[in-house]
Amino acid sequence: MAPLEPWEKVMVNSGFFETVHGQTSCSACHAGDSSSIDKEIAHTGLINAPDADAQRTCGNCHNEIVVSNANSLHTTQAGYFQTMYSRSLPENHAALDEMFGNHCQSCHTTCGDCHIAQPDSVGGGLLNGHEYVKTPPMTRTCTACHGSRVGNEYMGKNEGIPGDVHFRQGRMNCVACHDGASMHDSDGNNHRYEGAQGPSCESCHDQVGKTSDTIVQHQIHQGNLSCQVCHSVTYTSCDSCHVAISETTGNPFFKTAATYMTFFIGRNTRQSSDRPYEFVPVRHIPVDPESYAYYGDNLLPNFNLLPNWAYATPHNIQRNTPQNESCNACHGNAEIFLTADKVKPEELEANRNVIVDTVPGLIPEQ
Amino acid sequence: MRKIILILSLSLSMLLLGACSAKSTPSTVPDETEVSISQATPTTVIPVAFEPPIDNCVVCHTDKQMLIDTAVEEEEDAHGAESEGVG
Repeated sequence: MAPLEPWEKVMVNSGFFETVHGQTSCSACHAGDSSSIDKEIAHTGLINAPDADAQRTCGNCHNEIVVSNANSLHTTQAGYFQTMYSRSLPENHAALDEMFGNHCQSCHTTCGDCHIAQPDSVGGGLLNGHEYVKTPPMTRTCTACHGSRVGNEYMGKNEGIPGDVHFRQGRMNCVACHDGASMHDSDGNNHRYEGAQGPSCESCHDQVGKTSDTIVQHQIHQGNLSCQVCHSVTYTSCDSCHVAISETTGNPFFKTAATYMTFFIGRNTRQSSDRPYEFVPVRHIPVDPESYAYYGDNLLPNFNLLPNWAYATPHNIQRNTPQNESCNACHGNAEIFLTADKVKPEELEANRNVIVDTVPGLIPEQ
Repeated sequence: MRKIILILSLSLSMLLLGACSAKSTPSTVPDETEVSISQATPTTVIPVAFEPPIDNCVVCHTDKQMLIDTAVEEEEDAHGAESEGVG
């Protein structure tokens, strides 16, 4: 979506004043001086985003949601901290926190980032003239942040790669699977791949793997392969995101070394009772030992403790894919497995648990 | 001894009776001045013209032209124009 003009970002619809949220004065939430018509005076003490203190504002009526949302991954961004700190040491946390505040904090999500305005990462601006939007619009909120990988995959924006069948044929938006309850509460998990899968494919496809399932491959592979191993197609990987502060403008910026399309099956390093799979698709994530070097030397001394070919759930699901054409489209096909020769030598150690040493053998008489 | 007990009983009885009579006595006397002021208050309300304070936030933020006129050019590099690659 094209960026909003400055006036568009702050223009309030007359319809807003007919809504419940429009019944209170502007200054009740935003402070400032509403008695002055002078912009500078009126904006003195202005609270641009009152929902930053959600308990004081949204929580007056939506207390239950505000309380649970405070611990959601959208609010805490705990997944980033878990992986960043795991690769580092406590003495580096302050520098990493500074880096995170400068470069990643804009992805932190408040109530208003989904229900009132576009997120800061895409320049902000009211979604619908300050009217509160119960269901966040997909392209202006969800994929505004989750765009370069998930959004492009889901909507088929990667050249030559079809969009997700749930989008193309099902016309489903993000919240069709990722409902409000799951967005507002992460059940205390510190990473999106912790805890029960929510949503899981089986939430809708509840016959998969059951005795009534006529697709024998489901029964053979269920529990051993994540659904995406057979039903996703080529997706985006990225290399080496480095961050810094511009010497000329003082603004933060990043540079990624490469973005390319991959489909590789690797070993599951997040194996649990909720994700028992031996194999999952893996995506190269853009972190390397020097990603945050601008903020200090050797900030990720334990880089090799986590892989940077990471468990992925590509959002471009198809019923028929190249790897599920036949048994031997996958079995014996080393091209689609993350074998050691596909990993950069300097990353072999970090990815030792992901790399597939032995590709499942050919199935005879195929 | 009987005399002493009798005197003590009488004293105690008088004390109790005295306390009861003190409690039943009003502690304050109605102020006649207050009563007269209250009676002097008119019972009809004279309507006074009331204008709610103008909320200038609404005045400006619902006026497209005013917002255009007062907009400040956004910093070109506000969102990291120096960035390269996919974020």
